[in-house]
Amino acid sequence: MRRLCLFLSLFLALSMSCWADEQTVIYRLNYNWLQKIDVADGKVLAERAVAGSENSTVEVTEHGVIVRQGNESKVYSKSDLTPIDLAVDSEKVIKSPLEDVKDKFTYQERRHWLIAGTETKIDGYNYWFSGTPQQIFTFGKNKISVLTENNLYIFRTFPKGNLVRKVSLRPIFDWTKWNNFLGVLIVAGCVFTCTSLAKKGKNLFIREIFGLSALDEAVGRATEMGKPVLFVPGVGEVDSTQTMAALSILGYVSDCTADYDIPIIVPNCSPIVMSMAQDIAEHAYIKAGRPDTYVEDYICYISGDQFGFASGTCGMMVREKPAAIFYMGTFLAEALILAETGYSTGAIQIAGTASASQLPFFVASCDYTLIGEELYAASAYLSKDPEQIGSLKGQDVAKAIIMILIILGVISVSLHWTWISCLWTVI
Amino acid sequence: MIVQFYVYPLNWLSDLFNDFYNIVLTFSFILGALSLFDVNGKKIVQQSPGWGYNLVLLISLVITLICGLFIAPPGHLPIDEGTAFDWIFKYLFNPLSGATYSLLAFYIASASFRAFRARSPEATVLLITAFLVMLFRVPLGEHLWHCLPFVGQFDISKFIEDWIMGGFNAAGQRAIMFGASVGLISVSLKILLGIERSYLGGD
Repeated sequence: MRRLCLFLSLFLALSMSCWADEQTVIYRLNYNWLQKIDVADGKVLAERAVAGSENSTVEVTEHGVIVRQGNESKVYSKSDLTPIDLAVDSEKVIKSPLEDVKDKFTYQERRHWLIAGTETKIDGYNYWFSGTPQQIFTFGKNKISVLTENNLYIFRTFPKGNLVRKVSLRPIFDWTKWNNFLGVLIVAGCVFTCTSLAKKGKNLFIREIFGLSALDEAVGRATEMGKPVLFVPGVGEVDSTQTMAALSILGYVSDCTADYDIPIIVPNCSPIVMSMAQDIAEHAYIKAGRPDTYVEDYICYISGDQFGFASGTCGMMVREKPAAIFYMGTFLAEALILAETGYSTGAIQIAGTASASQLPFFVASCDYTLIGEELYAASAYLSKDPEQIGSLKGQDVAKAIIMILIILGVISVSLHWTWISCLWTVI
Repeated sequence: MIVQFYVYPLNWLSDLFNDFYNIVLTFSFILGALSLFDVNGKKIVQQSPGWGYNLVLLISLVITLICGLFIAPPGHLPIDEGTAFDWIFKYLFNPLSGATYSLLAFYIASASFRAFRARSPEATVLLITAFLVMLFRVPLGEHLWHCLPFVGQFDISKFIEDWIMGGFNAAGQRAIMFGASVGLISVSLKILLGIERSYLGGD
């Protein structure tokens, strides 16, 4: 705890300090959108809808961005622009003759052209094109007459506006994310506190999770029927925490199958997950003293494509007729295809995912479903390790805090306490 | 990665680690291909039941690999538009994926049939809600509702959008997301601190 406090103090002290950040930005008017763009990488940093047209000019001053149209002008504060992170390197192939280039581009495409990093002065709409003949020219109003017929041209637009070089100071710590950081600290604090309580021997109550209690029952059924167990670790990669949780459950299931001396089949959508699954299962069978029952070919790569993977896995289900099927991890549209095929084979099915959109399908087709957090809780629940049980209790405490905050949020909004809304504002 | 999310000067770390990850991921596909050759090759050699399908898979894999790596007109990459690889992707891979995806329509029907049986009070509520949402979110259902006497004046689509979808449904989904997010932080912490090691095959 002392070390944690020291680390936090150091972190906060560092966060207060500032650093110089040179950033070259451009403000441009793109139809009715005033946009702030980082010239270095072409990203649209921020934008907002304004009253303007193609004839408007943009001037950047210390006070803000002035948009002038005829005699009228309006000043927009730089901070009024809503930050976004969207930039697309776009090219468009157009076959000439070309009447009006602008009509060939959709509105969305025009908004997100990449700025060339070499451009220092940008004025007007510039279209760069390759093909025959190859040249760079400025696009005037609407017509382009230099293009020859029946040639393919690739167009890339450069934005209109004034180039501004500015040097600004900003703190090391991104204070716009303070509430996010506080939330993480609270959850981490709950987990740490409950873990240390559990380590000290405090008895913590954890409710029964039926889907996890049924794991033994499912493997037992497979043993009685003399059929294999099929474990699907989802279509996620190893960078997904759901896949990690699924692999933890695979460790427990393969321990059971090794103890009962039945094979386990694990079709994979990712080669890295496949390697990890092979290691986990092999370790379980060696630990149980039955390395001969472990068949490496049963833990194989099917396809990186979700529907290719679904087809291959469904084929396995129909051919091998497993007595128990587990779906754990990240699932997308293939969830129902897998679960319904498994249902048709008569296997007992247990699913677990945090993908909210696929949960209804699993609930409809499977015997037991681990909903959201239950998937993450599986490892702790199955291991019965006090340290891990403590972390589960920590999650429950964190959820109780969230519930209190939700009620507080409802009250504050109902009573128009706007000052408190900063707690929930995500920038 | 956690620190870079909150600290400006370290933002570049995210891109760097993502690049590392992508490089490892790309090379891992060699592992996947080897696994496919190993598993399917054995079945072909042993002439296991259905070995012809394994042969088709390996031939398709090899042809796609050759087309994607080597076959291209001068001045073009093998993955450019109009190449053999592009043809395979457009006219073989996409229709096959589409066919598998379209199976969902039938599976949804069979799953709904089981899910919407009124066996308990909760299932009856689900059945009624599903009936309302399915029927009155389409123009025909809305038209039929407005033809009803007395209740027809009531805007059913607004009730479905605001109350069922925007209220009960959104609240339920958000509750799941809250729980999952807290679980995610907890698991990440356990993995970072080495409390959770079972995903590596340990105890």
